[in-house]
Amino acid sequence: MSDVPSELAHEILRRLPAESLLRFRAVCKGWRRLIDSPSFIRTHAANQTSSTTLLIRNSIGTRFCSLTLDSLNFEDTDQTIDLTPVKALYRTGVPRAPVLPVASCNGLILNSHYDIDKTWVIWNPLTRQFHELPEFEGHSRLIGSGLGYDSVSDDYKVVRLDDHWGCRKTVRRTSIYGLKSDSWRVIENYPCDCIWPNQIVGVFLNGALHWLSRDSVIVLVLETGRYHKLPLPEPTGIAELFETHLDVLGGCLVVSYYYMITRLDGWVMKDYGVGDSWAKLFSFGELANIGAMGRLRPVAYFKNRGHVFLQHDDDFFWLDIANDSAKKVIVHGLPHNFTSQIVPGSLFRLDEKEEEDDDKEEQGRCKVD
Amino acid sequence: MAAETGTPTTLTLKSNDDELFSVAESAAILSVTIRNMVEDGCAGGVIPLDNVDGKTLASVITYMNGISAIPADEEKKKSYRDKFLSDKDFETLADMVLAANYLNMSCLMDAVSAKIAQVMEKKSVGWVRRKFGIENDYTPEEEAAVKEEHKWTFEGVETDDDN
Repeated sequence: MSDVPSELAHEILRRLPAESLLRFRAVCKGWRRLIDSPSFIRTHAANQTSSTTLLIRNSIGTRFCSLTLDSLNFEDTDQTIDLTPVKALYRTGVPRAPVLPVASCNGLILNSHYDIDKTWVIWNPLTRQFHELPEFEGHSRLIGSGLGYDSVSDDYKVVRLDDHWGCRKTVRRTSIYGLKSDSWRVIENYPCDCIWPNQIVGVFLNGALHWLSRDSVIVLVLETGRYHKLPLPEPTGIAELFETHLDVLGGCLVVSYYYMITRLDGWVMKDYGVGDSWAKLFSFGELANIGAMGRLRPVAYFKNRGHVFLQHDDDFFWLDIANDSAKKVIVHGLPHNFTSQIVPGSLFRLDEKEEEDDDKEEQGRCKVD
Repeated sequence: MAAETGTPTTLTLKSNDDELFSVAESAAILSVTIRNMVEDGCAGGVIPLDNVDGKTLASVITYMNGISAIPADEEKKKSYRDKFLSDKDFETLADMVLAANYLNMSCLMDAVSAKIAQVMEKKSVGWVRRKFGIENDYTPEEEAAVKEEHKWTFEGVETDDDN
């Protein structure tokens, strides 16, 4: 029987979900120091990109629960999969919880109720901590928002795109908030040909935020504050196309095209940034057990297994792409009219400033290893 | 790597409790430690592995043979690894993580670490201390305070029946 030395313990701990790690801070002081260290939190967050933890919100936002999709057995021949009760995460004190999906990054969520409540909040649903952003000044119309992580400055950034009404003309402005400086700064106009129809929330991937415009994906690189565009896949039958949605699923950009009520096509950008790499991921046609396609939404993509997980009202569907077969998944204990989104557990602490000295020491040690 | 080399070469490995094992070189060089010895020409006779006992080495060799028999198909390799580790208890896994580290076998290291993490996920703090041989250096007051910070993470933890 062998005791596991500490460098191997590190190797094991970085693979644990954040919730277990918060508990194992109580094992000993050394483990708590490791789990709380900024470098470990960074490594852990980078490991969570393939997380399958689904955050679920009840219809009125008073209760959240989580569901780990990885533990489901979809080889089962049954058309229904029964699940044990999901885990409740909510406690009072969390600011008004948004309908999902929302802007999120590495397990943190941007809570923005721009038209009701001016206070924006970054929230960690697992640690239940939140941080209020300084109030945004000026009268403006919000066009887009997003939350992302800039690994170069090791900082979480909130972005908002606004139309400001100045004298006689409207100014299109991009503002970036950095968590470290706790302040907003205006960087530049946003591209003027952008029309964001209804999805104002940008999605985060590879150090950049992505918004859907009418004919392309608008990309804002957080490190440089510069914009560029990526093409969209060519829709088939543009006349019937009535809605487009952009998601990040399985570490890829995924575009959903809704064709009236009859069909939902999902396209995946296989190589990030390569316009030619858009490929049809799935096509959900008329099925007896599914009503309007508009309420069907892909929530997770398991690239290695070729599976897509979709929500439709209060049901989930499991789609096996290669076999073109779908199964209904019954989850017990779910609230009615819930909304859901993949949000990995995050160890990131919003309640205190990072201890930079500890951080450097920790990094130095890891390099020697 | 060594796919084209005519007759298969066999290596002899010796555990720290003096058990001898024969293994095809093509499988054994999954271990970077062994591969370096082979490349340095120190693998002529018996290769002594001072940090691995016979029981663990037998297991590692089963893995080496199994995984190298699978062609380059990451999904198949993954399912072999899952199956290989599925019936191992914590002590065996802990011995294997040490062996994989010593032998410098990153694929086994990753798989065993992930398996241990999976086993630990829902375990109690007491279970982890026992299995990892960690002494609790908190005072009772400190420990209570640390637990209070994230007390909801102590809900739904498995009861402490060992294993």
